[in-house]
Amino acid sequence: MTNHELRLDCEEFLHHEAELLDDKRLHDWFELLTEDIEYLVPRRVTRERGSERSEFSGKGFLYRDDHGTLSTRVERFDNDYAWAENPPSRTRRFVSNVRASELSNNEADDVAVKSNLLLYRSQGDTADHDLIVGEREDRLRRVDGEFKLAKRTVYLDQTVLATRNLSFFL
Amino acid sequence: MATGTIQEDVPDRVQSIIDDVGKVSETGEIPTRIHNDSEIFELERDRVFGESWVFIGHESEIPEAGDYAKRYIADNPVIFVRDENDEIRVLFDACRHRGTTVVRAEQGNTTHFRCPYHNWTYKNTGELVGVPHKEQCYQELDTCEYALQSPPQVDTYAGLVFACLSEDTPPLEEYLGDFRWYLDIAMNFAEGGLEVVGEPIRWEADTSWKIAADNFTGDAYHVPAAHKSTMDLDIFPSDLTALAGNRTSLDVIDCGGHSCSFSYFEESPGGYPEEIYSDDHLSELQYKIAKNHVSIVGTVFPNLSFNNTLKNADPDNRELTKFLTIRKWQPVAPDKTQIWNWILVPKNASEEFKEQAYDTGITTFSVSGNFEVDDFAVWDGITEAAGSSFTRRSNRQSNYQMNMDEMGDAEDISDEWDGPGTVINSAFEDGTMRTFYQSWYRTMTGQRIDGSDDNSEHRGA
Ligand code: FES
Ligand SMILES: [Fe+2]
Repeated sequence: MTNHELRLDCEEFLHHEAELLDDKRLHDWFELLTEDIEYLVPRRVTRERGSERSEFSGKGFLYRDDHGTLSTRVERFDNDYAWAENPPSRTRRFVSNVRASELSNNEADDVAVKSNLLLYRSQGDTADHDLIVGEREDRLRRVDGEFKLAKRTVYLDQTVLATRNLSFFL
Repeated sequence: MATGTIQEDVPDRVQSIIDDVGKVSETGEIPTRIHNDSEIFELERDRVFGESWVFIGHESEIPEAGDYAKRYIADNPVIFVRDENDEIRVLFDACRHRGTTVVRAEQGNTTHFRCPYHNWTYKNTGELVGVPHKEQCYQELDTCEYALQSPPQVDTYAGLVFACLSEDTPPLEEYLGDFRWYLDIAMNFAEGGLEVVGEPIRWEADTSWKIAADNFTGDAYHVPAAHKSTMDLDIFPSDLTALAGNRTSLDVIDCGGHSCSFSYFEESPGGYPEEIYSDDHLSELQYKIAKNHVSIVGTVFPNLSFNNTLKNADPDNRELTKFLTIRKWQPVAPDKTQIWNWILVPKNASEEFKEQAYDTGITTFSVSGNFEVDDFAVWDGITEAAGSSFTRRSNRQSNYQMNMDEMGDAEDISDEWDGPGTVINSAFEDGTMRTFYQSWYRTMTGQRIDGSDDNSEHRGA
């Protein structure tokens, strides 16, 4: 497969995933995850240029989830009392700048994919909206001829988040 | 330091709102307006945040000499730093020359702070050690007079560093007073103490800082309503909640102007590994509560809240786990608050347990926390309505009368209770919040939060 074709396949997966999330089909989205999914959003820290330490925390996280905790979150959103998403956020995910590369031989089923995410969110009886922006580093795995998401790390472009809560997936 | 921050010319409208809050112990009501009012907000910045001890950070965040973090006392930027001599300092982050901030990063390590504007340079003790071209043009400048300023009072309790912009406020030990008895249960129970994991998570919500601080004094009433989904899913199992019959739930409605709420069983419901506990700082009763509690939640006036609580991030596969979350509700605007969330774990626990506790913390009680996201979804509604003209026109009141006087059968059990403060035998009551607003009233009128200098008729209940 050429790199171009690989990228198109990955894009297709990511666009489909974004559609499921924007359409609130969370259980269908959950089916896209492998059982060993790692879902990470490290805390970004404002550091001086040239600092030896990464801007992205190795210890502080906004999300550090696995299959079980994600499943609990997904189930909770079915509950009538999950006020954070009642009424639901209107989200629109713009996924771009997709870069895909095959991993080495012993991980031949996996593909490393980077993408940019621009997430628009508005909610309730207001004209306001929040924007959440970042780069995602995903690991997609071929399972029975289809891609599944095996790992996602979201590198956000804010250190102080300008949204009242993260009651949705990135 | 110059005083005179208490302005004399408070408009009548504002003064009468403040005075109404002062009657909360009798009326059980406060004017809703205070949750979104720009004049009140301006006064609060001076009076509440200028006269109270405000939380800065935890010692474990800056373990090495030179470690620093940027922090805020309301709108005042400060540097939280461990200097070369291992002393922890809080320095006002404004260059003594023209006053730009000398710290641009959130955290880091440095021996010196160099101002980016004209390069005056300060040691991490705050001492001014470099003035470019001094020999040519600043010969008479006495650098000793131009150190970065420190708030007049800085002190530490159980690793928590506080600062106070006023020198007239009583020392921290007195300010926390007997309330330390409860703080010790929440955060002084582990051999070797607690440590912060990672960096505080920060985000901004369209609400008043007071709504959040009020909620954390112990609004048990909202839990079965706003957080019902977490009970249905066993993130917070129903047999642990106020709806369970066999737990002891107490509200410490006033302890030196602070308040908290906690509940415990006769047996431990789990949460921490047995071996992390130490009774070095605790009486027998405190130790029992530390081990057997479901949660102990409270607010140190004005804007430091804590919750040591038992939750489950994945009831099918994980165990109920305890963690301590510490909050700073930083006032940004009448209707905007920056939330700072630290998760602390026992320092001597295994790395595995620390991760489990941290994950439980961020998965339930943080910006994405599936328990807490529902709070943030309702708090901004209060601010919206509080700022409305009808609220102002009708002098709308918010109700804090739950279980007050004849409202219910909650009783004052302070006499039989072996801990300090005024203690009520129910979590379903609003005394913890009334005390928060009473302390607010007192600081807004230049009095001490514990009422020790209060001769007015509105003396606390
Ligand atoms: S403002 Fe700092 S050196 Fe001039
Ligand atoms: Fe809550």
